[in-house]
Amino acid sequence: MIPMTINWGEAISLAGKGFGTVFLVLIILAALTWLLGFAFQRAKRAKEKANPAAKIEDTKAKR
Amino acid sequence: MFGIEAGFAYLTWQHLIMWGMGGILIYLGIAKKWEPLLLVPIGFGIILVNIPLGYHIMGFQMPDGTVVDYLPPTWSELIEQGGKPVGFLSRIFRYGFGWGLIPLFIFIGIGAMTDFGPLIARPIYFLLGAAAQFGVYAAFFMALALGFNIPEACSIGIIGGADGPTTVYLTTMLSPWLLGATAIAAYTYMAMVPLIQPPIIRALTSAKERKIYMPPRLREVSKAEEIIFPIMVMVVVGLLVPEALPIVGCFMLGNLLRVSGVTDRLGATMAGAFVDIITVFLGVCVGAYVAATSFLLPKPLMVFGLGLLAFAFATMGGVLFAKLMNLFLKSKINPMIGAAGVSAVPMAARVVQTMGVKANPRNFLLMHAMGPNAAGVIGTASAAGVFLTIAAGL
Repeated sequence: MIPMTINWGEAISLAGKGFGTVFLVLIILAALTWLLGFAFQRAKRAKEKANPAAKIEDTKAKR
Repeated sequence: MFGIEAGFAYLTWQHLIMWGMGGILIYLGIAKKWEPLLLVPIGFGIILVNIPLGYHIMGFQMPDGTVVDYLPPTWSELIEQGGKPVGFLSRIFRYGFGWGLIPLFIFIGIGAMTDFGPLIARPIYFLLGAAAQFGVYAAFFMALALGFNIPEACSIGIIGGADGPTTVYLTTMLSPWLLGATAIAAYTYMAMVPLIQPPIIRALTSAKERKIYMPPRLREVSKAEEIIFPIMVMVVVGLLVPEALPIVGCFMLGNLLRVSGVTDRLGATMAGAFVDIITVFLGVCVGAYVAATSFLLPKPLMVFGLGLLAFAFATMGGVLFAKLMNLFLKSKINPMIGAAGVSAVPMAARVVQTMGVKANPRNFLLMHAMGPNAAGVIGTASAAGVFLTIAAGL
């Protein structure tokens, strides 16, 4: 039996806002993390373009 | 006996049931190797507190001189009435749990053990961690339908996040009388992830979907990204959901100590000896909180059933969202990795890896699954912060 003492409208609103907030937080984190990665990869590519010799050395060092 | 009051006279059938329960948890931990680091101390704590006249274990002395030899569900009221812990575990419980310290310390250790590399390499996995929080809110509703009030429903709902320390922290803050039930439900079901998740994953995915190949190599993540990431997460979550800051702050502190490159000793200690010490006290105190008279009641037993449903819904949420994402993605993801959005790190990721190899021996999904797995911990911590904000507004 579902109790009538709970305000279901309020409960739905709370759960909806809560789930929505968690989603929003993680979407923002995903976007910022992507931007972070984009910025660093772009900087890395620019550095390699400016200094191709350094890229060859870096590849050799990784081997 | 010989003039000494013995506990035999006070032994009841309820105590024996709890001994059996403690014994089962110890058996599952040792013989089946299900989360042994937690189930063994929890099981031991259950037996310990259910030996009669054990006030040296979890006792509280009230101002009028009476001694309560176990923690009742209303232990926070005991403290407000001036009760002082007189047992060795009740002292640790009073300050370690009453002040919320032990779960936060555990988070430092978990952060020091977590590799956010796969998540940083593919930020889209954050969405799978978010989708898995569906289990939290589904359990929240079911708890309300069964007659729990909102703070209790929040504590039960968070079990769906599959995160033991978050469950302990939130329950201590919102509904401490349910701590034993929610903590044991959370840790037991975390240990049972290899049993709970596979049938649900198989039911929601086709054989073709389970075979979807994902190249094992993720892009290389730079040291600078690994260092900036925990600071960024702490600031963003702290600004958006301030109540989640203690959990997320401790989590990210541990991670920064791991990745900074100059605090390896601290990171190793946090991930090793420190978290092991705290885990022992967490497990024994949670178990010792579960006295027969406060656990063998309808409400705590209902929590167990709801906890299982919460896990199931969390798995469903992650897998179904992954399938939804595939409608829009050019490079499809294997929907099984959605199941790793629950915070049971790394168990859920390992389940996905095992099922992935079975479906397609070429597949190595572990690194991909670690992305949503790590995101799920941040998601559950955020959900706990939201619940704390909701409860503060009631």
